[in-house]
Amino acid sequence: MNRQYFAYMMREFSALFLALYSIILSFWMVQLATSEEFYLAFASLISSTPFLVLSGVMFVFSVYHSLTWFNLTAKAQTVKLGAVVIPPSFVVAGNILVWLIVSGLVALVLLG
Amino acid sequence: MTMAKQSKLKPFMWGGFTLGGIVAAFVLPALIAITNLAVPLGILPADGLVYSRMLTKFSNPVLKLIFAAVIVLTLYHAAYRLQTTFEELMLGRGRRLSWVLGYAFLIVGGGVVLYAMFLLPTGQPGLPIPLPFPVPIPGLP
Repeated sequence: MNRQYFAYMMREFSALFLALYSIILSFWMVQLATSEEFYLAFASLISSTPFLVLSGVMFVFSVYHSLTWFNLTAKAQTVKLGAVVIPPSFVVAGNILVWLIVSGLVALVLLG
Repeated sequence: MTMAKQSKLKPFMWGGFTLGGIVAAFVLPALIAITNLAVPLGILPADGLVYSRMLTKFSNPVLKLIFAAVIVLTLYHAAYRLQTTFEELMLGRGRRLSWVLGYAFLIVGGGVVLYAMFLLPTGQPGLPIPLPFPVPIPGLP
């Protein structure tokens, strides 16, 4: 398997980890809605070593998805400011900036 | 599904896939980092995630809707992507199987999220989903 095809397959399979996390998050919501006991049990499960390893893998794949998605969108769409075509690298940088702001907002909502 | 029906649906399916990809790209890394890594590892304080505060936060219908949208759109994005990848790997032969594999996540997760959203923010035992194995609960006798 050549490197480019491997990277492409990893990008496609990053979706598997995104879906897995979404399901974990929805289970978390169910436990929250159910009772404090269930919520704490789930929090304890998330803190276990095997789960932390899985979370690490999910995090790496989610960052990979973000970076490849930003690259892809910059290539797929030409952004113009008047008559000036914005270079794709600027579009990627803009996406990363928005990503950082959104991440800060997520932290504010969850931890605030 | 006939070809005509499929081609009419395609723009909507593609639109949902793109929207899910954008939402997942911007929101998920921070969510995973906070809920599953930084707080459990003690890097960030867990105060904001304690039960009573989370219950108060999620009694807000707007936040509930945002979370439901993030989960469902991400699942849809993943389902679409996995279905096309499985189909490609099977060289177009296992089309039906690729749909089952790809959309299994969407069905399981979508079901759970609807159930969660229906229950929230009652905080009362409804139809709890017990964990499949016992987990020690810190702070509880």
